[in-house]
Parts: sequence; structure tokens; C-alpha cells
Amino acid sequence: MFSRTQLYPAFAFVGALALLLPLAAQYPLQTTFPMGGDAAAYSHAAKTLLAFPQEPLAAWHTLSRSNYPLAQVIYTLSALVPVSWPERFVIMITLAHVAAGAALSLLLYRLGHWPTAAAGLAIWGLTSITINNHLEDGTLAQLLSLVFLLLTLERSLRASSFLTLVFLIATYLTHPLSALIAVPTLVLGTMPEWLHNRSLTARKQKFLRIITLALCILAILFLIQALRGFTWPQLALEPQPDIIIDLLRSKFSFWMALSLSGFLLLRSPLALSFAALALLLATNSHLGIGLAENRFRTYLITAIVILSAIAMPQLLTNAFRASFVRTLFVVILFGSYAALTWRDNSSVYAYYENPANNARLIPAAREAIEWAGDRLPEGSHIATTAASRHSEWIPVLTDHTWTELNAQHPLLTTQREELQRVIAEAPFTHVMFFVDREEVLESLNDAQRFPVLYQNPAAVIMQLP
Amino acid sequence: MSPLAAWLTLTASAALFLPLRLELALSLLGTATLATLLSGLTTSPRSLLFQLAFALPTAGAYLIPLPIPPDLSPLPRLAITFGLWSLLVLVLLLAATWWQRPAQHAGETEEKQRKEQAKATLPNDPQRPLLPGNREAI
Repeated sequence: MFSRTQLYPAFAFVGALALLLPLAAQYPLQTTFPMGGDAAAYSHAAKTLLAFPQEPLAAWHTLSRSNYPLAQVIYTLSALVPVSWPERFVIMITLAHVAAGAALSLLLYRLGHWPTAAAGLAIWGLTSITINNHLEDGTLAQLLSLVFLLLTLERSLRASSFLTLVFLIATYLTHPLSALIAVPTLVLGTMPEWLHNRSLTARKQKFLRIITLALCILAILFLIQALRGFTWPQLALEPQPDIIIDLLRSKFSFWMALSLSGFLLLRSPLALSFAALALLLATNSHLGIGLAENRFRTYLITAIVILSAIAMPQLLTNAFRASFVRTLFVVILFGSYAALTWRDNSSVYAYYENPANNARLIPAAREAIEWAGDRLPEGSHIATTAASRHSEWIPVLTDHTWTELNAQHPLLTTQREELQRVIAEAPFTHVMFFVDREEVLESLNDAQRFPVLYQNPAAVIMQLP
Repeated sequence: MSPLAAWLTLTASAALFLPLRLELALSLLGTATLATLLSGLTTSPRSLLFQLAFALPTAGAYLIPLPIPPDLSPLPRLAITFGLWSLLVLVLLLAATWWQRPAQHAGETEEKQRKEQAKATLPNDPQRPLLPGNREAI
């Protein structure tokens, strides 16, 4: 039979999973639709990729123009799940959150031991909503890239050169921002080892040579590009709330406090590089840069989870000598945290579910779009205004063409004969108004000329002659 | 880490979690950090060299603004700041690794000398103690 010490790791991981999985599953259980961000754009691109045999050029353009082609391909694979695209998105982002927790746990196992890995898994489970914003913002690609980033770091600690490079490339192809932190982390984490190269094992020496070669190739490519001249993308500076104060005022502050001890206890330059880079990137406006701090938030949270998971077992062992008291403390701490997180997540989901808040596609709007998908003739071209983001789901939930009209479009600004001429020349066959956010245009509000085909409290679909 | 430091850290963290007043929690956290740092320093000063290699340039990045032209867009700013920071960290990391190397080397030499000495005293040393079961000696 197993001894008590042999069972401890199993208990710890079962406990951590009992915390992570229900809190992750709370998202698909308590919501009926993705909450925001680019869920519709991901799904539309996935539909285009699935049409590869019929339209290979469109599929190629979708991939080549995407900033995260691998994430798009992975999401497209979810077409195997027999549900509709909105539900698929919810399932995929939930799975990505769990996968990131698993990758983090694996990395922590390399950095510490099983208590560290279990602690990291449990702490990550508490970050699904309000702390991390992937589920709320629908940033699937960055969440998937986090999985590959953590696997890159884990494999480099194991000195596996092939998989480190594979995961590094996968990190870049799923989201360039994750590669932006992965590359300097690898440089700072591995290069000092050249100083005691002779005392390393043959495997580590080989790893060091290959990684250095790969990083040199990357540096040469960077230099060539620099000599040709960079075309920096234009980015607007946006005032961001201070992430440190924001996190200190949240229930995540406990882990922030523990992370300071973790920083002092950590012995891996690789993990220390990641933590320091994550902190600097997430607070870059303090350095006079002001670049999309919100996007770097996830790396800081990951770093805090790593550091606090490193600190936790040692703190607990030193503070509580008796294993019973230690276990009791852990159960009370994580139990109270899990209860708080479940309650907070529920109120966030309730906010999004409330149609009055216009925070997602409401069921009535979805019904209208699905009606258009089922009933309008093949080849229909639907026009909408930009008043509501509901319309983004038209090309996903139907096979019709969709155009969003800007406020100056002649269809929305002209009257009578001029309007008749515009309609005759335009390719649109139908116009849809989402009346929870806008009113039907006065010029088009003529049932004789523009018959209403469908109407519900959220949408009106009209036929154009 | 000492039990006192561990306790202080847990208490301070719990104070943040509860939440008590932020200022009180932060001052507790400061005390805990100091206690942790001191206990770390007293146990092994050299073990904190890697931490210092990261902490010093990071603190410097916040405290000393770089003379970057104000009309530069964010990405070049990021490249310059992080390039300089990485360079400084790399130099300090190399120094920290080098600093730890002589100690390791000295340890190895000491161990080697001890083994050689032990080996030298084995066969014909008259002062070699008689060990039970040492048939050759008996």
C-alpha cells in the first residue's frame, strides 16, 4: 500500500484540480455567449479556414495576415466539437485557461517540487476572472501563447533544445507579444551558463550551443531588419490604470505579498528574468514608454503565481511545524479564496448576461441573426450600421455577406429618389437594425417600399428592392 | 528563511487579503520583506547575488529616466529601454556567476586535497588507526 508521504502529492494535485476545474467550468456553465473581444472575428476566420478546399486563396490570406496564425489554426480545430461557434469559443478559451494552468504547474515542478507545482496550479485557478482578463476580453490567442511560452521555459530548464525551439516558434506564431518576453528571458536565463560550460553535463552543453546559435541567428535577422529600417506600427498612447495598485486592491494582493519572498527564494536566472521582464513590461508607462500595459498584465500575473508558488511551501513549512496545522491552513486559505472567487465570478457573469448592459450578443439578437441565416435566400448581402457589435456575428452565424456601413454612407444619409438610386447601385439585399441600440432610420421606415421580414425586441430585418 | 519571517509574511499577506487598511497592510508587508531579506542575508549572502543582478537594474529603470527623445513612438522606446536593461542585467548576471565560481572552485580544490590526503594516509601510514574488520592491518 501507499505510505502517507507517497499520497501527499496525489492529495495536493487533486485539491488543486478541485479548485481549478470548477472555477474554469463556471464560465461555460454560467454564461450563454462569449463576453466580448474578438470572439466573432476568430470564428469568422475559422470559417474561412474551413473553406480551404473551396477557397484556398481566402484561407491563405486569412493566415498570412493574422498576427497569431497558429492560434487561429488551433481554434479552427474546435470545429470538431458539435456545437455552434459561440459555444465553441467559450469551450476553447476555458480549455486554454486550464492548459495554461497545467503548463505553469509543469514549469513549477521543474523549479521546485510537487508542492510548488500543486500550489501554482491552485493559485492559477483563482485568476480566471477579474484578475486575469482573457475570458472577459476574449483574448484566446494570447492565452494559448502563454501555454507555449511556459512550455518553452520548462523545456529549456530540462535542456531539451529541440522542443525549446519548437515551443518558442509556437509562442511567436500564437502571439508575438509572448515571444517578446520569451526571447530576452531565454537570453538572460541561459547565456551566463557559458561561464561554467565545462562543468555542465553533455546534454546541457549541447543545449547551450544550440540555443546560442538560434539566438545568434535571431539577432542577425533583427540586425538585417534594423539596417533596412523598421516600420514601427503606429500605437496610440492610452492612459492605463496602475496595474500594481489595481492588483494590490484586489483579492490577488495575498499572492503579490508572497511573491516578494518567492523572488528571494528563487534560484533560477531563467524564472527571475521572466519575473523581472513581466514587471517592467506591465508597468512600462512608469518607464516613459506607455505601451499597451493591459496586454502585458497576464505575464505579470503568471510571474506572481510562479513566485508565490515558490514561496508558499517553504513559508508554510517554516511557519507551521505540524503537518496537520499546515494542511488545515492550506484548506482554509484556498477554500475561502475559492468561495470568494466563485461569488465574484458569478456577479461578473450576471453583469454580462443582463441584456441591459449590452456587454455581449443578447439572445433576441442572436435569434434574429439565426433567422436570417435560415430564411434569407442564398447570396443575400446584409447591411448594418456600426451602432452595435451584435452585427459582427452575422458572417459567423449565417453564410450571407455582411457589410458594416459608416455613418456617412449614402444609404444612411440620403432621402427619397437619391436613396432609391443608392439602393439600386448598392450590392445590399437586406438591412438589419439592432433596435436595442438604435432606431430604424426614418428614410427606410416605409413598409411599402422596404418590407419588414422579421422583427423582435432586439432586431428588425428589412428587404431592399 | 526563519519562522519569524515566514510568520510575518503570512500575516502581512493575510492583512492585504482580508482586507485591512491598505496602508497598514503595506507597512506590515514592508516589515515582512525586510525580515525575509535579513533572514536570507544572514543565511547565505551569496545566494542573493542573482536577485541583486535583477533588482538593481530594475530599480534603476524606474528611478533614472533615460534621455530618450520625446517624439519617439512607444515601440522604439521599448526597444531602447529593454535593450539597455537586458545588457546591464546580463553583465551583472555574468559577474554574479563569476563571483560564485571561485567559491565553487575553492570548494572543489579543498575536497580534492582532502581526498588525496586521505588516500595518502591509507596504505603505509603508521599513524593510521586500526579499524575493525581491517584484515590487512591486523
